[in-house]
Amino acid sequence: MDVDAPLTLSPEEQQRVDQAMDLFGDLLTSERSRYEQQARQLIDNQTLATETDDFIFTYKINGDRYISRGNPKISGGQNFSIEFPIPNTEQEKIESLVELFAQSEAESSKRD
Amino acid sequence: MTFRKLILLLSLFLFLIPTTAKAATGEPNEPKAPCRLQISDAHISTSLVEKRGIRAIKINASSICNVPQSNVTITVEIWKTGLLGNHFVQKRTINSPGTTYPNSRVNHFQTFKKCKDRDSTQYFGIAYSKAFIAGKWQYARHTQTKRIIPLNCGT
Repeated sequence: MDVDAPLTLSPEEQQRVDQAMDLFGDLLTSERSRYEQQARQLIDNQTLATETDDFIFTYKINGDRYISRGNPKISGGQNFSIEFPIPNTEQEKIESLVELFAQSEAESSKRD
Repeated sequence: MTFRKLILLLSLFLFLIPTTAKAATGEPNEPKAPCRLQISDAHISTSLVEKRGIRAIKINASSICNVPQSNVTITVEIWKTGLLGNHFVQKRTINSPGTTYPNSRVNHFQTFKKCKDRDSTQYFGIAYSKAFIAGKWQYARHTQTKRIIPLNCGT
């Protein structure tokens, strides 16, 4: 295997990544209202738990970072965590959390 | 010690050798480690721009191993340079609990951050990983992107 070979995906893997990115774009607009509400809850309570059909998400504020953890409801699935720095202004904080929620829920769709 | 045990020990030893992107460019006669972590340069995600008109900074990584590995965890961090030092942009870790076959890749292509404007910003990435190999946790040291890339993407 060539060490300098560019990082590429198989067509199926690329399709899954593209679908997740596409869903991220969708969620940013379609779920914005819910995400803004969740953002305020997280800022007030420092922690938040949500779930979808397939995943359980826990969010927390830890020091200068927002942290998201996603765990599949079915054992053996891929889990993940995401960390964002906490911005300075209130508006930026809401925007950052909206993106964090959208990234988390989009990531959970990327399953085999 | 059997020949098979010798090969196994040699494989584990080589896995622990740091596989930086710089080292990965390869000096002549440099042996190839059986496990390797590759990281891409920072770039603007084409799929998000083309399909959604959203600009986002993205860095990809892959773990490739010539021996079976399980519970592979790969972390990718995005950083930007600044006047008073580097600034953390985003970090994403994935954990794949299954076992992979020799020579297969575990890909991590989902670390990205939306641009908030088009300010020119210099980005680089760091990747690191761990995996359960031959009954032990093995750690791949931090691998940094080869270049610091200026992109019209303020974050």
